[in-house]
Amino acid sequence: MMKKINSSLAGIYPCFMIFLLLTVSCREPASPKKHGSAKTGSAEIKYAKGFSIDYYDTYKLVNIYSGTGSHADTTQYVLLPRGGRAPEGYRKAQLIEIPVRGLVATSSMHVALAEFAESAGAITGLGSFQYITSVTVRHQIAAGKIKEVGIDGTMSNEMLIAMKPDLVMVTGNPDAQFSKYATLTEAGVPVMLNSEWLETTPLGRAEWVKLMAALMNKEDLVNKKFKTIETDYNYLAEMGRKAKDKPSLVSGMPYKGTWYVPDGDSYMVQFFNDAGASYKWANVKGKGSLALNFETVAPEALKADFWLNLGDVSSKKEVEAIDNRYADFKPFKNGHVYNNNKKMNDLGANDFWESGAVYPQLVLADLISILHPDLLPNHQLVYYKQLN
Amino acid sequence: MSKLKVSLLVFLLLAAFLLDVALGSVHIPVREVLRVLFTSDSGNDTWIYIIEKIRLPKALTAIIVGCGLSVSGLQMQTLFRNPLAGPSVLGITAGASLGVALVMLSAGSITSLYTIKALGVSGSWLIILASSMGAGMIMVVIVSISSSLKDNVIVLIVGVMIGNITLSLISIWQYFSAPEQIKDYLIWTFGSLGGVTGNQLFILALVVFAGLLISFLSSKLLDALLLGDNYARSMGLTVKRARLLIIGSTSILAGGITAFCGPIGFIGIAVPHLARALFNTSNHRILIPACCLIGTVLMLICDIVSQLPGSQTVLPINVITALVGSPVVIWIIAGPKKLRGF
Amino acid sequence: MMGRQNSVLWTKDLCIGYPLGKNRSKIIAGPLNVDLCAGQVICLLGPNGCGKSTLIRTIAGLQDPLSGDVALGGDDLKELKPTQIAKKISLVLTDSVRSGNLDVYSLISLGRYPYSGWLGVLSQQDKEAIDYAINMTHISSFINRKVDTLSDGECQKVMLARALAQDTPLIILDEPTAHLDLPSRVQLMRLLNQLSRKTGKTILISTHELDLALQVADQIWLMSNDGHLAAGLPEELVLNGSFQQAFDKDGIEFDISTGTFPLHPLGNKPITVAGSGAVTFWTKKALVRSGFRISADAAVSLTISNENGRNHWTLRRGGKDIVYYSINELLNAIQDMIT
Repeated sequence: MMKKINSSLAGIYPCFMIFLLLTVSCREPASPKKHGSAKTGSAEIKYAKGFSIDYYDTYKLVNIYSGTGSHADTTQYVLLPRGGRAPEGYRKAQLIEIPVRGLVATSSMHVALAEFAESAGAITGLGSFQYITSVTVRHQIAAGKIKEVGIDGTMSNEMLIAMKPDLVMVTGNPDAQFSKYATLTEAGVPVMLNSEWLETTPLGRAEWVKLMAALMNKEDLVNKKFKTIETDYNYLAEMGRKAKDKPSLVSGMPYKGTWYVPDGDSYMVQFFNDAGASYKWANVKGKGSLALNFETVAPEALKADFWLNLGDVSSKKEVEAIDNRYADFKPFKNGHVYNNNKKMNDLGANDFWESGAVYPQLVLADLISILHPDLLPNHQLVYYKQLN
Repeated sequence: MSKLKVSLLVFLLLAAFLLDVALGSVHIPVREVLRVLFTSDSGNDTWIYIIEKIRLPKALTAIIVGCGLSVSGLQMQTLFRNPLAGPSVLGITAGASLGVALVMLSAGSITSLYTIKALGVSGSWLIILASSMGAGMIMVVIVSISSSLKDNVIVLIVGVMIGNITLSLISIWQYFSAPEQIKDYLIWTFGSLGGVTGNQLFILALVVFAGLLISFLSSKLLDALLLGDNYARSMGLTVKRARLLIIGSTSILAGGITAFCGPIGFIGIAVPHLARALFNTSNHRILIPACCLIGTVLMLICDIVSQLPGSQTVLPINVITALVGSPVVIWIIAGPKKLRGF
Repeated sequence: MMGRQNSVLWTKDLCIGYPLGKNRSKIIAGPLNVDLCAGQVICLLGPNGCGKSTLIRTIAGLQDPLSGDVALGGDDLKELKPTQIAKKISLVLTDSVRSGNLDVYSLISLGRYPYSGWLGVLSQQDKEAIDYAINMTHISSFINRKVDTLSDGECQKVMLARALAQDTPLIILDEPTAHLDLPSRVQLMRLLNQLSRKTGKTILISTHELDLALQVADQIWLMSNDGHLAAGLPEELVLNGSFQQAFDKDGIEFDISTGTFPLHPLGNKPITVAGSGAVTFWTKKALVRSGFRISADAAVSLTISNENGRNHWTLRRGGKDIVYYSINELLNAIQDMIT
């Protein structure tokens, strides 16, 4: 009896969403006939390209796209409410019981996603305790409720298998392979390889909160919150793009003769465009960053209006100490050097990488306020600070 | 005859120097390059900046590194009577790497360390300091071990083993570090001539000059050591003291250069062979300046190649020195004239 | 014991060996009391392992003595600095010097190390000493060649020249004739003898060349396995039994009449041989090898003579005389006497 109610409840939410939101095309929707269950719709994913969620009567189907080119891969996950019967025909997919009550997160972005979905309490394991901003999570760590499981090569399989979490979330990279996690999956621990790095837009990155929503059954809440963010962001972006004069900027810090600058396929450059900046490599397509000779970027830096995202420095003195040639750059001389490390805590964790990933409108507001102070005169910088 | 060789090498040196300053990612006509070099003036401010603040310091660094590494390699080959010895054979560069790894891998990415105010040291000086201390520590270990060992071969083996231990420690550290930290450290290990400017360049020049001076004044010692410890002793050499002096000056040269430029290999092994072959002598009074000359030319050429002139990117200097140095060593040792000298 | 006035080196109760750890050491030989006089050639002989190399290394200052004193020309070895010792003793060792891209002239000029300037620049005096050394050792024809292209014999001469250039009153050579072929060995020993006569230097040679040593040495130091050293004229050491004692080893005996170690046991077939000259000498050798014993009054006798340019071997056996015209014929004929 309870089972039947659960199943139908699980089916209601997706139906509800279909009527409210616009549908977006998703890749490879499963045919209902094959799996003996009716598809009731798909989540509206407007900006993110890395995942899709399909809703069925009794379960949700998540597709995650990882890798590029020859490594391109789609992994499927079946999200099944507890006690539900697993659908047939998904031999290769992993089964995740929802709502997830034991989540192991291995990056600060995952923590941010959980926090956004107001489900940070479900975190029972973290890759490392070191760079966490979320207050909730820190309390839990202090209360001993979260285990430190290690990152990458030092991840403890034994610990994870003993914990029996509902899901282990791992951030993938272009060459990530599932084979690395075979020990876990074979032991019945579901592993989800996220691919936020695929996203080339800030909103696309933030939209991954919807994946967390599906895992936590918090679609309603999350969709509402995201809608607000989306609206705010687009409003700001329009303002930025319409700005009459576009100041030039350089980003990043060189090291030993090589200056890695973001290129046209980086979400950071999307920020720059939306904030109304002129950026030399905005139209260069690539893997997200270009490795350029110091010599190539220096002429730009000498003339640029602004210098952003310098890494872990907090004052002009520190910048100059790294290399005294930086003092020749125009933004240095004019004091227009801004770094994205304003919101840091005592652990050395930079919230730009945590909450900044899911509140892109705040980041954009910061940038517009820096580049066009007249457009947002009352804005207080959240993630960025001026280096003095 | 050797006057001709010397003039040819000096000419090559000047040509390589000019080329190194003239070529890069940004195209600057040679005429303008010369104008900037001699009059410090040009129509284009950017060009002046690039030449004076980027290319010139790099070329000077190449000259200093070329001298220092070649001479320290020569000393190691003579002391251990081994044609494959180089400045890193005693683990000095491994020690420098350990110092840098400790600082880079333990506490966040490089840039965070630039601000360890507690030490009162900021900027890339922290890396330089850590590297020097690492090299110095290994030097102390090697020197104290070598003073109680009679046989040079044992000292060599001990040095190599200490180098291995050090590198293993670094690997352990890397294993437990985050990818960004590892990448930062990895980039450091590729070596770079580009980061050394202003005060750093001055201090590097001073350190290397001191090392070269000590080496040159040890020419007689080195000559005697060519016959081995027993003969050297019978000719009046205090072998332990000589060993100390040679290891000391090599550490200053190799350690100092690694601190500022990262570990750069192959020049130290290949150039002494080239010098011996070209000048056909075993006299260190001639070989040391010869190594400086040849090492400088070779280093400048490697730097020019690593610039990939015309392209936007730069290849790490270590890659180029290995690609250039290895064939040289093969040619010398196995080539037609068998000029190996050992 | 020679007078100490013209003594180049003497030792008093010298014990040589190796330290084995904290307070233990292995004594190889000693206490030794020897004396080296100027202008002599001294050969150090002894069976393998008796400590010849250790002795040389100790008196040259390359190794510390376990106890006792060594004095060089009146000064205690312990008190002297390496550079001072270098002006008194030069060495020719068995160490390999083929490496380093050295040419012969450069190698010899290294001998001037104790005298040349700061950076090793050679003065006129240095160059003259080098030229002198080259002339003395007759190697001027290959002074520009690289050392690794030399034959063993040439290389040894070069090392000797280097030691000469070092201009020391004492030159010590450790097994200089090892690895040399016979002509080179003879050449080298002859050269050493000449050098000592011409330059007045003292030359100490450690060697296995018994034959050449007995011919060349003014003094012999004979070391034995029990750590003793007997010093004296070669002839006296032979005649007073020291040689036998030093080389005594299960049936190998030193024959003082021939100055060699006879390979063959004493034969049991007596034969008397009359004759003189080389033919007789070599015939006797052939007979001994075949198991005969040369005695004065044997039943069989042999007379060797030369008639009309031809050698005759006349064998008298049982009253009969038979003439043979070659040693081979002779030996074949007396086969039956050999049992």
